[in-house]
This record gives sequence, structure tokens and C-alpha cells, in this order.
Amino acid sequence: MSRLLAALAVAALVVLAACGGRTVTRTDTDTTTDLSGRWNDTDARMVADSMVDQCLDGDWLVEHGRGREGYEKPVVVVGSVINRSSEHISTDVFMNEIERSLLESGLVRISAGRGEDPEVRAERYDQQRFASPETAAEFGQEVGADYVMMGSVDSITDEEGDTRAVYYQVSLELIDVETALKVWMGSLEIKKIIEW
Amino acid sequence: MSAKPRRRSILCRGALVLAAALAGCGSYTATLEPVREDLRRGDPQAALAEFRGGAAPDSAGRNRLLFLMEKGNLLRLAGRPADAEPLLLEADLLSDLQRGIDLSDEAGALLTSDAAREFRGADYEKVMINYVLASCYVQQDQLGEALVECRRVGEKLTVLNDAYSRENVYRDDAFVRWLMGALFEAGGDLDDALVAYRNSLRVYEDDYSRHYGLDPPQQVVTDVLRLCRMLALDDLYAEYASRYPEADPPPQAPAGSGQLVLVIESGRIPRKVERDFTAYTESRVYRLALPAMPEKRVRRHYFDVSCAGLEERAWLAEDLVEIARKNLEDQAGRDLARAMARLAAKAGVSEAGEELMEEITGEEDGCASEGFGALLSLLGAATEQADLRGWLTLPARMHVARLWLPAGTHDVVIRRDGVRTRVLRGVEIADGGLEMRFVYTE
Repeated sequence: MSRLLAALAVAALVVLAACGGRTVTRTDTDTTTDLSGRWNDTDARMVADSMVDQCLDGDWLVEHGRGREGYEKPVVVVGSVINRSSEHISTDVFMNEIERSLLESGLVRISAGRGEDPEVRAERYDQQRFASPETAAEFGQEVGADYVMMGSVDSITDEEGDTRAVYYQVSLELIDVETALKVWMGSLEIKKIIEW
Repeated sequence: MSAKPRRRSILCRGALVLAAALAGCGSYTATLEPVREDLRRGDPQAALAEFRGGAAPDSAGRNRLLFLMEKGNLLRLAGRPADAEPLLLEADLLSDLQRGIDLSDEAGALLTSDAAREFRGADYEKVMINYVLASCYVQQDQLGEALVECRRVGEKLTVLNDAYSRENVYRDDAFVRWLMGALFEAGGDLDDALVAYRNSLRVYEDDYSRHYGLDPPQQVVTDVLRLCRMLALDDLYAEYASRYPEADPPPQAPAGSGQLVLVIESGRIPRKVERDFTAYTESRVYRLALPAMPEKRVRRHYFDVSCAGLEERAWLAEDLVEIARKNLEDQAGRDLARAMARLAAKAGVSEAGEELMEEITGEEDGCASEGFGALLSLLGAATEQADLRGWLTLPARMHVARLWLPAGTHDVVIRRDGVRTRVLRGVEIADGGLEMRFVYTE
């Protein structure tokens, strides 16, 4: 009888141990993980990859003078993306990735934008007071941007019973600062079907 | 008194005593009352402490959604919108995932009461998650995120209403539509602001006046007219001006001024009450309990807002009490159908118990079997409770005031029924800007 009780107690402990706790597994960041069906890292990555490809394949680089003698790489400032969808989408996630990929392509130069420039300017200002005159950054030496990149995210949701369809459209455009002409427009559409 | 009526009387009283004991045993509405009392006294910090101190519903079980909603709202009222945000976002996600029928949940509820089911919230409560979230984002100056929440309200109500076989009263929310307009306007998006104000007016015209006794507010008409004028849409202006000849012409914003939009949340939503129906035979007692809104109407107060020598009467934008009442009426058919199924299941259990006891004792219509059947019936009646759970820290009503103030820092005084009730100190108004504030008052 006592052996039976002991066995039952051990079994109960094993069950309790198996029930509790949390499992955390590191996984490849390229892995697609759709849990709730809402906008996630996979969507952000798709947008960044597609937009960089579309942008660097556009004619605007040629029109800017790529391949001509004395060509200077265009300076792009990455601006804001307006979220018009019905989900909280951190647009910074894919815009940072786009900024990094454009810079690494070596075809464009990136100017500080999206809230970074005040910090840079504050540092320059501080240097005038605290850094030695030889090393202090000079005022009026910023390189003006040739183009501003901005865009929007829109979504349409349709739902019936236990099925939801969500359509996202991410649009980006590059605008010539001097002429205000749009020199490139790119978009990516993502459609998801979520079933319960 | 003969034996049969005495037995009936005992059964009936026993069921009522047991039901009262079970209902009083830690009911959610009773435990949350001190929290509501703190809110009534204008002390959300104390309300939050009371909630944490034991008044909270279970945070992990079938009342998880309720816990998130109440705590999120209390944190917001206590001036901690950033802490409220993750709780309310989880509430929204959880509510979104609560779909279909949970068979084990339903089976348990069939033998006890609807209160044993997972709390899913009424339609208006699901919408209020987004409103409260929008208010949190506005307080953190994240107007774009607040707009996301307003958009979700439209989508949510469309989905909820598409799922009902008969028409629902609460199809759209005029106040959230109006709020959306104000947020678009604050962001400088006048086209979308006009669309939102027009949608708001349409919902006031079509639904709110008919169902909740709330006529289209003149201020919403004025907002539509004002935006038409700003966007030089003369034909549209003429159309609305002819539809509402009594509406005030839109005010001209004085140079060097900005707008203050004040959303005044007042009162507390009433607790639901139980309506029960009891019938009995000589050896059985049958009881149905359904939730209802109290008959006594909550008085509508009026609010005046004064600042920098200007005074404005706030307009009633949302009457949550009436919306909750209609919501419950819409739901009554579904509640009754479940209550009838529960009644039948409990009656079946009593009969089966009596037959089982007959088999065990080998005595037909014996004292033991009849007594056992009666006992099961008594338990069935005693466990029958109306589901009175609801988001009880929500306000009863929302009033709105919009003032054009000189740019600068101001103190804003709010009066309820002529009596000073709140003062907002140091409200910054930017030239050409729109400052939005949410305040709670009894």
C-alpha cells in the first residue's frame, strides 16, 4: 500500500513538473511565425526586402546621373511613414532595415532623419563649447538631402464567421527636395487569410 | 398546512436561501463596490489600491478579460496611461480570439449558470476597450495610434453585427466617430476629419436619437459646417445648413488661438441586477435567473467648462447607460435560450438522480429516491445565477466641450450642475493647435 502511495506521489510530482514552466527557444529570425495573424516581423521583413529591390532597380538613379562623369551619389533622408491601417504597426522596424540596406548598397548616401538630426545638431552645438577648436565640428557643413523617402501603410479587413481576410498596402515614394517631383514610387501588397 | 404545500414551501425557501448564499459568496459586483466608491469620491489611486488589494476578479481564469479591462481603465484613470496600454492591448487581443463555443465551458455552465462561462463582454464593452486605449494614446501624445483604435471600433462593430441573425441596435458608435474627426483635425488631416464628423452625425441621426434619446448635437453639425467652410466645400455647406437651419454658424478661430477639446467622463455605469423566476411542484423547484439593467434611470447631469473668461456648455456625446441597456435587451433572447436549455438540463439531472437512487435502493417512489431528486433540483435552482459581470469602472456618460482659447497656459474649471467639480491647471494651448484632454468626474 505504501509503495502504491509513493508511486502515485512521484507520478503526481512528474505531472506537476511537466505542467509548469515556460519554454523559450532561440530561432532563426527568418523563420515565419504567425501567431495572432496580425502584422509581424515577417511582414516587416517582406516590405524591407521588396522596397529596397524596387528602389535600387528604379530609373531615378540613372536620371540622377549614375554612370556619368563626376557623378555624386544621391543623398536620401528617410522620413516618416503614416500608419492608416487598423493595427499598431511599428513602421520604424522596416524603415530602419530599408535605410541600412540602401546604405550598404553603396549607391546612395543617407542623411540623418526621423528625429536623429536634432541629436546630431545638439552634439555639434556642445562641441563648440566643450571640444578643442581643432576637433570641434563646424556649423553649416551638413550635406543637404536630394531626396526624401516617405510613405504610408493602409489596410482593409474583411471578416465572415471564423475567417478573416486582411489586405495591407505599403507605399513608399522618393521625392526630389528641390523640384518636389516624385522620382520613384514603390508598393507592396500583402494579403492574409486567418482562420479560427 | 398539509404535507405537500409544506414540502413545496421548504423547497422554494431552501432554493432561495441557497441561491442567496451562493450569490453573496464573493460575487464580482459586490467585491468591486469599494473600488467604485473610491472612484465616486474622485480618488482613482485609492480605487487602484483597493483593486490590487483583493477586489480584482481572477486574473488568469475565465475572468481574465474582465481583469485586464478593469485594471487597464483604473491605471488610466490614475494617470498612468503607459502602464494601462499593454493591459488593454492584451484585452483587445484576447477579446478578438474569443470565438466559437468552448464545449467544456458550455457544459459546465449548463449545469450551473452563465456566470460559470468565460467572460467575453458585451459589444459596447468590447468597443470601450478601444476607446480607453485611444484615450491612453492621446494622453501620451500618440495621435496616430489613437486613430488606429478608432478605426478598430468600426471594424469590430461591423463584424459583431454581421454575426447576428437579427438586427442589433448598437451598430455604430457616433462618439468614437466624432473623436476620430477631432484626432484627424488635430493631425491636420481635414478631409478625413470631415468624413468622420459627417459619419458621426449620421449615426446620431439614424441610431442615437431613435434608440438612446440623444438628438444630433448641434456642436457636431457646427463641426461639419466648419470643416466644409475650411475646405471650401460650398455645396456641402449649403446642404447641411439647410438641413439644420437652427445650427450656429461655425466660429471664426481668432488669430493667435488654439482649441481645447475636453472629454468629460462622468458617473459610473450601473451594476446589472438579477431578475429571477421561480416555479415549483411538490418535489421539484425550477428557477430561471437573467441579467437586467436597473429600472431606475441614472440622472443626466450637465457640465459647464470655463477658461480665460469664456464659458461653454459641454454636450452629451455618449450615454453608455442607455447603450448598455439596449445591448442587454438585444442579448436577452440569447440569454433566455441558454437559460431554458439550462433549466431542461437541470430537470433532467434531477430525474436521472431519482431513477438512479431507485435502482440503488430497489424502492420505487421511495423516500430516499424522491428526496435525492428533490435535493438535486434544489441544488440546480440554487446554482442558477444571472451573469452580472460587467466592466464596472466604465463611466456612465461622456460629455464634450470645445473651446477656442488664446495661445498660452490656462486653468480650466469644470462645473457639474453649476457646482465646481474639477480644475485642470496649466493647460497649454498652442497657436493653431488642438489640445485634447480626458477627465473623469462623478
